[in-house]
Amino acid sequence: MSELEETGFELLLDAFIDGDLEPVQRQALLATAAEDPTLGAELAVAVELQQALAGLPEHQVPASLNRKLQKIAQPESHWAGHWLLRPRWAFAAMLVFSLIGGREIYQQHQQVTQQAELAQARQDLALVLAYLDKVNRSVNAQIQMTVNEATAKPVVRVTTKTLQSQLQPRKDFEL
Amino acid sequence: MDKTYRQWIAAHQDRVWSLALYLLRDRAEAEDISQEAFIRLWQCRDEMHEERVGPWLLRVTRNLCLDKLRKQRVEREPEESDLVDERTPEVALGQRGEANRLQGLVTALKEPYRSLVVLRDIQQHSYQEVAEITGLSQPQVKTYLHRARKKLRQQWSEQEHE
Repeated sequence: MSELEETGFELLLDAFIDGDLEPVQRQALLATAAEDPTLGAELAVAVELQQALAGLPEHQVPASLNRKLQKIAQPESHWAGHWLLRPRWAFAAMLVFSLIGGREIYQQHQQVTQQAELAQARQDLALVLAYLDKVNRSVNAQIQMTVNEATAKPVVRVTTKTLQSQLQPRKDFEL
Repeated sequence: MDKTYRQWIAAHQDRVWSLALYLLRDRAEAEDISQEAFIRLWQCRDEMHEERVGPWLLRVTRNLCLDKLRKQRVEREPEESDLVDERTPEVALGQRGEANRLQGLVTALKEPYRSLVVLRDIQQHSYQEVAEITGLSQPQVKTYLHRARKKLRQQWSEQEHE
């Protein structure tokens, strides 16, 4: 068999395998193969190989891949894609909450400190007021004493002067 | 839509996985590529017509696989001398025994021969579908497939006589 005939026969084999041959061409091919043992063997191998290829089982998807594929179609939960749960926003939110919380704690601490200081100031003030009251009373007493002395002297002076003038003999009765 | 998409997964996952495994011969990489193909299907599911899903998925899967392979080696215009890959595929596929000898021969073929044999002779797609999936013309598909079949027959016969 020449190379050209061989190539032609191989092309016919492909067409035979694919079922593309007309019934007449098919019969002719089978007749040629029956007459030539070499071609007959080639036809037998081609048919056997083709049946074996068509009979190869499909590779079954492994369970791990099947799980991944099923997850693609799973609807996202309400929170799954929430912006607040994205790392940078979560970090920012955490930072803000930390700052607010820290400020609150600081303010509470400040309030406690201020209240303690206020109570101490009140005590000090009460003490000072008590002292001032005491001083005030003492000063009042001194003032009263001074005022009394100051008002008593003029009165005595005027009274003495009046009595002296009353007791002085009148000149018009003098002879 | 979710229900329809799950039906698409059930209908096409084995073929997608199978093609990826034949082309890449690495289970981990084939798993990644299969997942990527279905993620892309999910992303354009609203525009997808039911009858287009299968060919579309296989085309995307094959392209992703070829991109992966292209990163590993520079691809040349296929010649008849490039038909067979020197690496032993049985180990990559984890196969042993006479029944899987043929799968070994198929996975030893280089591109695009391997894709054509898988799509046409194993998965039984029509020439039109194979052309659509591979982006080749139908005459190109027939020519390359003829070379691939011839090579497979030779190796099949040689192994029978060993």
